[in-house]
Amino acid sequence: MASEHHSGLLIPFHPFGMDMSISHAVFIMWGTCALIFLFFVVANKFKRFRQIEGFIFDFVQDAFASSLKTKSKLWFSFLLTLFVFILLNNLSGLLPGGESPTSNINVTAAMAILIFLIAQISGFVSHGFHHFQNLIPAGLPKVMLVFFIPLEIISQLARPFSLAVRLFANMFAGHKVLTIFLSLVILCQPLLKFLPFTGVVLISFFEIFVAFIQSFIFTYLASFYIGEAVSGQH
Amino acid sequence: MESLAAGLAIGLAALGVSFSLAIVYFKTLDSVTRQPDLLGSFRVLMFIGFAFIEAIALYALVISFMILSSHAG
Repeated sequence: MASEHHSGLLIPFHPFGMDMSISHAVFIMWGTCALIFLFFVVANKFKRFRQIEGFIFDFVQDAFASSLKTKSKLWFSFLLTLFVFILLNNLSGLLPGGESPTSNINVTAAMAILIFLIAQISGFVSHGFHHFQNLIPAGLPKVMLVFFIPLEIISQLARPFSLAVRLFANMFAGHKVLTIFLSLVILCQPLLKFLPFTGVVLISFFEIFVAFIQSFIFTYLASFYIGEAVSGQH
Repeated sequence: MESLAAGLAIGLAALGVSFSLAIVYFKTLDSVTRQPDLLGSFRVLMFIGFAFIEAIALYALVISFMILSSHAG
């Protein structure tokens, strides 16, 4: 998604004939990763940063890791990184000259497919083929299996789809509404220009709220799906 | 004709979503009145419900943007 002011930074990069050009969104994601690394690894030396980290750790532990039902440190660090990564990516759209990489369907679809694969593979590793048999409740008459299996497969496939579209649509729509209000500021009469401008300010505050909520929802659903796959569904 | 379809898509979705969110907050307020010390978990459940229901309206918004940007007909 190119921003409105410039056509977007684009460094062409074509290894083996594939188009992997480095765009504006890629730069912002690199910046987010560098920020996460700086905050959680480098700033660990200072006591004040450790207190802020402790606050974030407690929040992630209460909200996500408890629904995972395992005390493994690996899942905790994965959910922590996912939450902070999506949060910083969402908030990048509100900075001047920045866009949110999560307002690009490719980014959110990649993350949703990743969560889906992690859930299926960890379920398979934990339970073997019994993981796939968990879809069918016990005591179902064999006749209903013909209808039931495609329905269950579709409902399982709808999970990463809704995960991707929910995050993408929230970020994309928020940015579009902001653009429309800004164009209203331009089109409005000089005496009434403060009205859409107030709208822009209020919607920007709401967008900050939506950024936090959507990153929380994505990580919560990811932890729920992975926890359901790891611990057995029925 | 596309503008009508786009407006209708987001309008109907907003209608459904406003009723659903009203029900969610109505029941949350009732639950908090019954048991005030469980406010923390009610708050978490309310936000989760809000995100799910809002997502459906945003699917419709994305569809209406797709209708508006397709220069067919």
